[in-house]
Amino acid sequence: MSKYYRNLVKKLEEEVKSRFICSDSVLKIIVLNQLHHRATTLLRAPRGSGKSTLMLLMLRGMYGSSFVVISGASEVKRGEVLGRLHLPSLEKEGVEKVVWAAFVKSEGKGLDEVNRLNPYTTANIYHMLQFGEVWAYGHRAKVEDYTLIANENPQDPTTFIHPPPFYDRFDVCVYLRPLTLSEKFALQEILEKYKGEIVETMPQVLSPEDLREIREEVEEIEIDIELRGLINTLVRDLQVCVRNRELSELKPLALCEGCHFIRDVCSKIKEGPSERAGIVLSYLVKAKIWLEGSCSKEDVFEMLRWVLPHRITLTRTKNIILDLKEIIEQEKVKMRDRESRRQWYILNELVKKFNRGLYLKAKEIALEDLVFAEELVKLEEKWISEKLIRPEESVKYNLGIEVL
Amino acid sequence: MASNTFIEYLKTVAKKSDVVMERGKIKWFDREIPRHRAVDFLDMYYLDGKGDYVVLDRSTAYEIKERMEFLEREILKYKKRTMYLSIALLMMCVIVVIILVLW
Repeated sequence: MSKYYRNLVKKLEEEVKSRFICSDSVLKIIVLNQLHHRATTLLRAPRGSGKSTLMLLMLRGMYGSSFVVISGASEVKRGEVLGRLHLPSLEKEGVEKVVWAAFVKSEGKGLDEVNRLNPYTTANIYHMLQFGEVWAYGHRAKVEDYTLIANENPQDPTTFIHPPPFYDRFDVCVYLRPLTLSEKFALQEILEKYKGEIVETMPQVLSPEDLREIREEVEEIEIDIELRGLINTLVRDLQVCVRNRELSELKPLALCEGCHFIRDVCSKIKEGPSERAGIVLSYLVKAKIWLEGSCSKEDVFEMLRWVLPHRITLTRTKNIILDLKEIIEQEKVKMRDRESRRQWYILNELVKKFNRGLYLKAKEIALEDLVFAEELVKLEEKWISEKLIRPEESVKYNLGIEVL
Repeated sequence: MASNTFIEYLKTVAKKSDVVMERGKIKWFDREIPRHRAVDFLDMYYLDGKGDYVVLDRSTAYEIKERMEFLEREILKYKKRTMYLSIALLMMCVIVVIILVLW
């Protein structure tokens, strides 16, 4: 059955690809992201780059015409997003019954121009994404599995600034770019081929039942322990700050003044990603293994490009995608350094038994790697209580690491 | 440190690393990987140096250029000689055939 479903997913990708021009990596990540429960995708692009078309193509490929799109560009009323009162019941029986909106009931959900949604609608959608339920007139409706694809052009002048936790609920954020010269020709060919009806001609490749089945299968996939290690180390690398920036009023770079780790990745990050980054990466890795049979470390780095843009704030942003690319390259070097220092071997030995020679080596490594230092500090606490080391010789004391 | 999967991760990575533990001290050997390494042209030519990129200084490059031009001139010279010899051979063949026919 898996093979049949895998072929369906590949067909979905092909059908979209035959109608929409974007890089293969972008389409691949969008497709992979649909393969887990409550999938949320955010497309960002300048106007006219086809973000709404791509959203509609994906929704149509999975739900036919049974999906609901709310547009931030139009006047969105509460009744259209959540529900409205059933007036006959109220008038005749005096009972407040809620007629839930099609957006709540439908599994396929689209949000057009998210940045133009009013804050009230955003708050309601946020609640749905966070708790899997919606409230209206004191009534609650549970929202089961769904697929939400949203798009926005953050450069548009009518932008509402939505809170970062709202954006954090989107699994991936994919950026589309204007077409190159040859791609413009290709687009004209596509328009001629489908007589301008790109979305209307898109067939429904998957049924909601197929999608549910696929998501069940993907959930069952086990991720190799090394890949899990890579995901967790990557996310921690982007979160860690020896001065606990998440609790500090002062943010990098001001916070980094005089810091030993000023040249590290951490000094480029004002606000690190949430734990959702790791969870989403795991979903994507599972989906990739399910669909293609394997997932390499390089694939994880590629996925990271689309998991981070909306859930990380850099100290200096010129172009978020290029800036992230630079950080990811730096991360690759860090991973290689970790391997060449054999630091996890040393930590493993220290976990088993205290060894002064190895501890001294580990202290040197801690000066290079804050993630390693944090783990060493946890061990030191135990060793200090066992009087194996003195507090003043510890990494915690010397680097001032406070694991709260 | 309590997480079992973290310990499992450490064990897996440790098992894969080529570290030897002797009397409480660890050691490993870094293998030099010739990939993406530059090698001097003369080292590559005379000492069989390995590397992806061959680097040569200006004077060596000019020497190679002169040597190539000389060889090209030589090739042209020998090409001409070969052509003259071929024509001579052909004419001799024709003469031999004519003599045989007349005789």
